[in-house]
Amino acid sequence: MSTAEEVIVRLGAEPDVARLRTRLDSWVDQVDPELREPLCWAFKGTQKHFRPLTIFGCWRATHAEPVPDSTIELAVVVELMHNMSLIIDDILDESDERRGIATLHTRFGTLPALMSSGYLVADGFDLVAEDPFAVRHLAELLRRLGSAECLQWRLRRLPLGVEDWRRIAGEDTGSMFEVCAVLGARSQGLRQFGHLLGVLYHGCDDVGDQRGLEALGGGGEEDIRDGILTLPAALAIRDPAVCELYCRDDDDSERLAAFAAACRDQLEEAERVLDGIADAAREEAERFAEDPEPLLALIGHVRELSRR
Amino acid sequence: MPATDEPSRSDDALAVPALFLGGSALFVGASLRAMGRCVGLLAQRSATLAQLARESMTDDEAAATARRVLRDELLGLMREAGEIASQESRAGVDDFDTMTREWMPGPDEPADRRQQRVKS
Repeated sequence: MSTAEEVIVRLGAEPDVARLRTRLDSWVDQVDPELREPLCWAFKGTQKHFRPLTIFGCWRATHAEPVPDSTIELAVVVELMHNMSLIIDDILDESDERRGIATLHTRFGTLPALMSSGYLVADGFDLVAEDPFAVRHLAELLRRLGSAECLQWRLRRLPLGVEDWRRIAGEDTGSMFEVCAVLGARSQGLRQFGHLLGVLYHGCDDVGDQRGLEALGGGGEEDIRDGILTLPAALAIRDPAVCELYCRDDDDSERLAAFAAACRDQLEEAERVLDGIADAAREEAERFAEDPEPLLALIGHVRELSRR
Repeated sequence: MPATDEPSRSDDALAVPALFLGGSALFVGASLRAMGRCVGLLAQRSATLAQLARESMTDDEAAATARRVLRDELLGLMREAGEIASQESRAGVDDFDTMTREWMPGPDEPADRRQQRVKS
């Protein structure tokens, strides 16, 4: 059993995820034949379904009834939107691989990749056209994701700090999980919980990526190469000498290696920051959810991501 | 003769002042809780902030690092104070909602759950 499947089992969400997968399969079967192959490809590979798990967790935290079909449909739409954002990310980052297979633009070319991403958004809105609550929040999500991508790019290689990282993480991953929490709970009550879960996810991913680099013996990877403000980077550049390394824009491998090493030195401090965010998310869950258990399980799972 | 379970005219007249009084009490309670927690937060951080401020004003190499950490700490303090205010205010709204739910249930609304407030 893969790690993703283990998490689904541990969260007790196998029946809901099975319904989600069945619905995603039926969606793929009815897409336009011209784009069917790339759209099938977009959903290949091992998917964690963590955003749908957040929707289901927030439903269970606020409702006594089982997850209804309408919430499964919302989870499908969030997966469509998420995969759209991955296609765009891969084009911008010039990534060759995702989930262990070639990225969509590498396999099919940039035009089909861009058109597939547009198709995902259009069909996503079509699926929830009768649900104004969902339409409004999905529109909010796409606006915020677009702005966050530009903000993150604009703020790279600048001498900023942890709070600036929190702002970027909050608008990027935070907005996605906020909307999942709102759609799952069908109210605004868990919005801040979703925000904190998203920031935690973003930070754990930053630290996990850095630990991956460490396991591979260090080196410059995409975020380091592009001067993206990750959590370890935000902590490392408090030192003016490291900040100077970070702010330079060149491909000098020695500089990149020295900066990567400085980031690795901050992993323990980064874990402490993440513990603080996890504590704040737990407090939100305990104060604002009728049954906080599903939410506490989500936090526990996300928190483990940095230690992978 | 009117049915006994229907509210009397005098009950209706008392409901509005009670709404205002209850709402005001919850608002004051939420504000006091937020203020208390913000003061506690400031007290908890003040020693670190003072230390960082002192280090920031020295001439040695560590001053630049201390200034960056101080900026982060101050921004973090402001963010956390904002989050506390938001959290207590949301808790106050939830309390007011719970308190007033049985006073004015909607025709088809179950008494134990808040309705969606979605503009169509």
